[in-house]
Amino acid sequence: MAKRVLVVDDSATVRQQVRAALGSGDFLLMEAGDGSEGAEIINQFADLAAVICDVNMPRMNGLDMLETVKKDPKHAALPVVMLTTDGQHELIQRAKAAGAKGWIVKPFKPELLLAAIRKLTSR
Amino acid sequence: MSATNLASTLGLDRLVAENCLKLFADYDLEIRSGEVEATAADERFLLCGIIGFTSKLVRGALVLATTKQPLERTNPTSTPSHRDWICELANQLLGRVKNQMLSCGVEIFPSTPVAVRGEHLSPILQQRLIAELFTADGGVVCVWLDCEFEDGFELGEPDRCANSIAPLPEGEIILF
Repeated sequence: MAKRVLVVDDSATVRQQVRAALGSGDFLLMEAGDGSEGAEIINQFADLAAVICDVNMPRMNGLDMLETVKKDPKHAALPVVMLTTDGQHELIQRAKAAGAKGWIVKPFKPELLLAAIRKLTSR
Repeated sequence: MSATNLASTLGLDRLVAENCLKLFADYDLEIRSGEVEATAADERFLLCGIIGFTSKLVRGALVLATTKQPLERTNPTSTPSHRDWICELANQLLGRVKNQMLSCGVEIFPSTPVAVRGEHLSPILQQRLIAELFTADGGVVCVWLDCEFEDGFELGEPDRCANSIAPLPEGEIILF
């Protein structure tokens, strides 16, 4: 059965890139265009296997979304990987402290993203 | 413009130009700095991605413009949206510049990008503003950085923050 993965990014091109990278049939992709929409979907779908999330987005940024959803204990085990242009260690540490499981700096290598998501969803 | 600000502007221009080359190379398109052939120069820019930024002592905007072919050849998806892709390229270019400015002791905060479509687009020059022009097979890429400096702004040497950890480079992935 395909695992449900949510990609949160304000760029439709990046969302489509992620869809192509994970398009092996193992994953069922869902999309959100900002952190606010992403948080809504996370709250609606209890069977999400992983979330891939940009940082710099309108309305609600990815780190705020991460901190918001991780406050709810029912999302404590949900793996979230940040996918962003930022490589700043303070932000990486903030994401790690909030409960993120990984950080990828754009542009990403599709095979590495796939390997990371496979690893995180098989735990 | 003070000598310090001029030096900083030149340093930022260099950072932007170097990272523009690397960004397009990461999407498998070689672009070359320098003279643009007459036929390429006559081609109309298709879209501009504009992304602003602020910080304590410097603020401004990065503008990335391309003709049709470089934009389409770098787009990794099968159903390209020109608007979305030029915004994302501008965002990724400023992200690279931001990461390198951090190594020079300057932190900037980018806004979200916007796209502009037009023909024969060019910047209105302020005191000193140079557009970096690149050629690619079948097209032209242009980038310029428009900055305002506060007194005291200085772009340090890249090792200025040697005591802090260098930003994670593009393409890197870490799992916690």
